[in-house]
Amino acid sequence: MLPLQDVRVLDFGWAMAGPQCTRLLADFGADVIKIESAERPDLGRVSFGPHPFGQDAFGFDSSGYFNNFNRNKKSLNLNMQCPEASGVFRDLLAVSDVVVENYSAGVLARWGWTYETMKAVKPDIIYVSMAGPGHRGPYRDYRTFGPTVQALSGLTYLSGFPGERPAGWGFSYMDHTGGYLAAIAVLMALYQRKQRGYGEYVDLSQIEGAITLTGTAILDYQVNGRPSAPQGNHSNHPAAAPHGIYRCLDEYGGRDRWVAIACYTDDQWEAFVATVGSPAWTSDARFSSLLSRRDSQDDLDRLVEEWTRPQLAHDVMRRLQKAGVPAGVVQNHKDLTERDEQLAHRGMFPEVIHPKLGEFPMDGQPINLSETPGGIRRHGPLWGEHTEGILRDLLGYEPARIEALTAAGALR
Amino acid sequence: MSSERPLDGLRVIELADEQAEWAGKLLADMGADVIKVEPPAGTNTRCIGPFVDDIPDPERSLHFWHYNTSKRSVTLDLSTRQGRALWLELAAGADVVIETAVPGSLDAIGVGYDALSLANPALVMTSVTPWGPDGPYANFATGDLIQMAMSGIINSCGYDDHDIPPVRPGANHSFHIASHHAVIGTLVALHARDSIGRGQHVDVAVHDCASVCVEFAATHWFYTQRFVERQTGRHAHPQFTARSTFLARDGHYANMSQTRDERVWAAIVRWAHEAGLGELFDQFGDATDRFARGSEVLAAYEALVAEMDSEEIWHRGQQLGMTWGAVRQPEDWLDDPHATDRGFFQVIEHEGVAGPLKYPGPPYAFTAHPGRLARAPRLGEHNAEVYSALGYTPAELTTFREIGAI
Repeated sequence: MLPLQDVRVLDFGWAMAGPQCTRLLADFGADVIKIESAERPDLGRVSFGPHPFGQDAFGFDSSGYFNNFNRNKKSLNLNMQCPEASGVFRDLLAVSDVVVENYSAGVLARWGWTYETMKAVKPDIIYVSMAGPGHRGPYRDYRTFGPTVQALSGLTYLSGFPGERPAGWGFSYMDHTGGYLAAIAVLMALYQRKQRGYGEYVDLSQIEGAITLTGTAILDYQVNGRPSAPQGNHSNHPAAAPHGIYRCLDEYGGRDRWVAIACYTDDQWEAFVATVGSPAWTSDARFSSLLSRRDSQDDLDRLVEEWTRPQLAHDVMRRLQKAGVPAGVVQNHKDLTERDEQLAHRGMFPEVIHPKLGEFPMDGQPINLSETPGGIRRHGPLWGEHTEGILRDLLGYEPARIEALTAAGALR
Repeated sequence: MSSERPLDGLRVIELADEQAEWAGKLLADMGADVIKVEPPAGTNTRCIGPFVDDIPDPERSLHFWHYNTSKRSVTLDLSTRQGRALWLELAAGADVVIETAVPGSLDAIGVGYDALSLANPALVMTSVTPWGPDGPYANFATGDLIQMAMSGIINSCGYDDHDIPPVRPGANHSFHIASHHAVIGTLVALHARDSIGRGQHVDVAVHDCASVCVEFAATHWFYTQRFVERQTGRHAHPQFTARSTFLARDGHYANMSQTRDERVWAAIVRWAHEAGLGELFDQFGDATDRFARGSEVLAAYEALVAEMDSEEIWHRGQQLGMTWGAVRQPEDWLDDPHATDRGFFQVIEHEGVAGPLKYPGPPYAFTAHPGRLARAPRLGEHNAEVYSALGYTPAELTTFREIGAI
């Protein structure tokens, strides 16, 4: 049995934040119906790649990215801009528990659907919107994607070396995290509904979600008057030194290779010193205590890197870890899928067959439930794959009605 | 708005360090009664700064304050027999236990999942570990930097110049990622409890969670065996892409992108004329011309942004429908009209230690039953009320204290 098999989700998720939310729900068995229209195709289908056989090799079924983020879901073609679609959506609402969307504010409302109109059809419906700025407030009409959310919230600012440009995040971290937070909101609202019987409208703002992750800096500013600041790869809180990323011997095709090393305690430092062979510099007075090491970190970093540079990153990691020193390769995806023995042990990249693309690895589901495990049961849905089945079997529509909807352009 | 909260009535016992304190906080802020179990000397996260007035003290850690709002604190020493008995009693009366103990260490003293679920079959126990309960790296030393490196996240973050090391984004995000998954696993297991009639064990490893939080890096490798290359202030990608952050007049950076939309381009040209840079922009033709001369356009952007404030770029760009932004600092939101209008920050008093402080509210606005934050607990602040609710008398509590159990 799947733990969320009694939950049906109407999913207007597109690009990534919405799909990440409903991927989590679908992995645990929720019946996620992805509502898609050619009028507004998911960016995940059309522009986010890679498309291993070309952008249009299989129409809207060409994207590996889409497959990865939409496994276990169903695809229903429904053009919400078409007046005839409204009745279909009303019928779906009546048999659903949750509506999730990550459009900018106002899109669903333009189609006539707000929490109030949804509630009129399904009184205990749970509606989670997740626009960047949220649906209320002076910036409610602002449009964002991951990098905008990260820039505005302060996450970008906090990533980089002092005095350099912000390095930021090299991907849409807040699309992942926005998705996690929306899934949490759905599950909390389901818990609430079970206990008390009512639904909820959750106005999730991805910018607010990002700001919550910077709370310590916000308190430090208020209490100590200290502006937030990027720390490079150093760590003041908790204090640690060395705490950095160090160059190693280049591997495959001259790619730069790096290892992360962190010593939070004197024990770890002593184990580090023993592993590097106790050269003279390690007994320098500047490095005698954690705080003095922290205050001389730039010098320390150079010396540590002299030791790592002629070595393979994996060798550095193994030698240090064997001595109990926190160390880890800056892994790329070849490392993650081919060399990381722990991820292999945990089965984190299962191979899944897609009827058009073929067999490829996917991100595994990292939450392991002992009694009712989730997981990947099926590839991402083909374009409109479940339209007819849902209308016929779930909503009980007769063939003539489906034909009429098709003729009206509601199902494309 | 109601004073009821979504998780009212849910009882959670938390024995967690920085890997999962965020999980307990998210549950507590939404109404769960989260009892934080601490060793008599306090959870080690009380020693993580910054501190109020930079005075290190377990009751002055801003890190601890932020990650432990709305919880109650009891002390308990699991190395004592009485401490273990209290732990079992607390878990027997709880819906959820969230723990980050070293794998196997609770079982070794007879108070792990097997013992707790025997006493309370409905219990959901969520264990967050660095690498998983077993396996080749199970005993590897950890830390956020190490996790962020091993996950592939850091491989995507840094600068165009690859002689500069890749960068760990600030704050302990691998622990945020793991905590989000811990909350999801916990709530899914609670949902299933009603169907299967019992609780279960939820196993969440930081490494697993962070390794599937990498967006395109994974799919480019899965499908085309291509690496993504880190690039300054923008997405890592198999190819180098156009720069998208520019230094503004106010010393902050702004995001701005190339556009094929002639209406937007016309607006940018107007701004350029206002700034006395008209000639620089008038030289460009239609979108085809502009994209063919991408580096010249970016140089022109750079000159224009230098004459404008970052916030101006953001707001004016948004009025054109562009997803541009400003690179803000977190504290910039404290007095922001949008955050104020939404009631995002919540004020918490810290009598005798600090003035009232604004905390970021829950990351999801439940409109009818919103979350509510309360001050993080002092060490053992709730010993008397929690242990007396278990039926212990003040005299017994005194004894527990004397024998070092609490």
